[in-house]
Amino acid sequence: MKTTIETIILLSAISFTAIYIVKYIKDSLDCEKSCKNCPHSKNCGKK
Amino acid sequence: MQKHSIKIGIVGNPNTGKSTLFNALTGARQHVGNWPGKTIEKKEGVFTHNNHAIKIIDLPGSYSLTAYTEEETITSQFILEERPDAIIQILDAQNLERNLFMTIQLIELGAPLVIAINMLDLAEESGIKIDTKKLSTLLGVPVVRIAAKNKKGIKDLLDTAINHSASSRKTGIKLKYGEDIDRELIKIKDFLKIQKHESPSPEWTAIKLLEQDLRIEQEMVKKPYYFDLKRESDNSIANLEKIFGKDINTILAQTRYGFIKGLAKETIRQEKEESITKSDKADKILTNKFLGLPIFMLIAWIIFQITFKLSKPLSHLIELFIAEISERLTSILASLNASEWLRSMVIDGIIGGVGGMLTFTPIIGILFLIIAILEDSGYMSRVAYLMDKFMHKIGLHGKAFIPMILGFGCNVPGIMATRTLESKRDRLIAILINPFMSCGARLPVYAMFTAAFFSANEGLIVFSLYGLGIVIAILSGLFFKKIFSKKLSTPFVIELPPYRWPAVTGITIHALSKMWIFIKKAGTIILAFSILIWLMANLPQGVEYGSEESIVGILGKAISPIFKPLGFGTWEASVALLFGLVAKEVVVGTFGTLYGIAGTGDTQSLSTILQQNFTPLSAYSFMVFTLLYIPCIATLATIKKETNSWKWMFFSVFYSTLTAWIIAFLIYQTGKLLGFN
Repeated sequence: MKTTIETIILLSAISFTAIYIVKYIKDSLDCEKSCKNCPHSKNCGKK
Repeated sequence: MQKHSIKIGIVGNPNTGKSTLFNALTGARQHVGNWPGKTIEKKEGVFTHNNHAIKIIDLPGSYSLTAYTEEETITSQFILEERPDAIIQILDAQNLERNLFMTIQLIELGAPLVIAINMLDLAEESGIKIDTKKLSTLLGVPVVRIAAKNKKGIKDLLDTAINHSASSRKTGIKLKYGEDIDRELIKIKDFLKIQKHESPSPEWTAIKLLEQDLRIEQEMVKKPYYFDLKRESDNSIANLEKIFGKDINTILAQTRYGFIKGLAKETIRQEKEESITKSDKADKILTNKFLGLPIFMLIAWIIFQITFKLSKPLSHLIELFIAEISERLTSILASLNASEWLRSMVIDGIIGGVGGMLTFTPIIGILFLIIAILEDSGYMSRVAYLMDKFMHKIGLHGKAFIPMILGFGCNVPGIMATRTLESKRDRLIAILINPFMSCGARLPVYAMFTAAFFSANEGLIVFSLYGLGIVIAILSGLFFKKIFSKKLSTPFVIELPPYRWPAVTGITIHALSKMWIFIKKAGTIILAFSILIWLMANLPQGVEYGSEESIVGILGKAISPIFKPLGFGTWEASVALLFGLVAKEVVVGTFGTLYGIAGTGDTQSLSTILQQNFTPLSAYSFMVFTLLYIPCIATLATIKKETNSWKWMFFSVFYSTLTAWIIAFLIYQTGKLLGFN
């Protein structure tokens, strides 16, 4: 039982890691999105 | 019950309070800075007022509606193509004459215009009295007095805009250009009428044809009657230039300014003769040829001193809180009899990586609060003015320094802000040097190292890094100028808006958003990377946690020889820099996780472990390398998009890494020769 729960935790952590890293890189490649994530300026948007 | 929806656009010269009004109306949290050129796209917001669903659009600040810059094109395109129900033009009461130039163009464009005069309090302080009632009569459009910052007059403005949008009398007076020009305008309008040319404002089209406006030319070139029309307008231009002995744009501008002058005489009264405003007095010192730069450097130094002094107790509280959580989790996991690897993942991996990052939240908040105060007060425009001399040396003008200042927050909006530069060459140089401006993501790296090695001079060390970034950016600009071309950039006059008290709500929201983004990053990407690094430090199976034999150790060892001459040839430092490519904060998370592993079961703090692996000199060299090396992937993607070229993106990767290596090498080796360690 303990091993099963721990395996689930490990797999969840690995899935979270994979999803977030892919999402972050994908978002970073979208400059409009990463610009809008920064409240410092409004110089984002389509040309 | 909602009556109907209304679309309202906000236009005006840069720095007149458009974004402040937009925020006041929509409750949005767009950052407002007291300098020109912050908005180069349109922002939309929706709200209701008196049962009307209102869609409001904040357009970029521009001085006119010609097609010289992108901001101007966006504004005129919006009015012509999206046909808003009302256009609110914000006028700065202190610079009414200059602002009225755009008013004339908006009226000619046939925009359903409502004028909002902002900052009347400041104007009145300088002895300027404006007869708004008379101004409204003379222009033929409603004029409302507002104070966007204090949300005064906003309701009145909205009511006026709604009423105006419903009224049939939407446009203002018709400006008389004089017999000769009017005759030529009629000729062009008649021609367009014969050709059944559809235009929201034939007057505007005719004037723009005389002005040889690029956008109208591009639109007309598609028409079958283009060549006849071109011949017609060319004849008119030739006639007028012959009559007046000047080029057509000068003739039209002089007529408009003549009208504005007369209008100003009728409606503006200067009560105090040539009074010296508080802003003038402050500028005498702050923009002084000799004192300006030293004062700026002193202010920058004070900013870092305050940031570190104020944030220290707060960071310490967070540290204690995290230590408490770590302790409690350890005992909970022990009571649950959790496996060793699970304990290690939670305590060393997650708490070590994320917790280490979170302790720097107060530094981020305080630094950006102070920067927001400086932006809002108008001082940052003076900095751009002061830097003008240096910028000219690299073939740019002070206007190009504004994207550089924005780069202190994040390089992505900094690079995007280069769109305000007209020349392609100027833009390219400004884009390539922007990543050298130390963004907020690098601050936790500095904070981590300064806490470990320079606790007595934290502010000074961080100040030196920011300064080094500016110096490298300027030197690089000089180098690029030599490569690209030596010709001077387009002339531009930097505006010096009057100083004003920062809006407390605005700057607080700005600092809080910055902190929230930082915390969000810690909870998502830093957390993800902490787990990834922890996993890589555990694999392949059977290796000692975080040893050189683990995947992360092998990877770090493979690249560490590159960094050995720079003083930080450990595999942990190499891995941190490698993962820092994703986001610079990950450097801190990586150290937290890796050294968390190294310190399992020990009470050693991150600072103590850093002191065992670095010397003050190698720590400084590491910070310099972090400042200058490859920008994060978001910045690289922006460079690719803004230059529309893979070549320049790869050039930026190569150039920044090479620069970082050389400068860190020089600092470390020279430091060693001078006897530092």
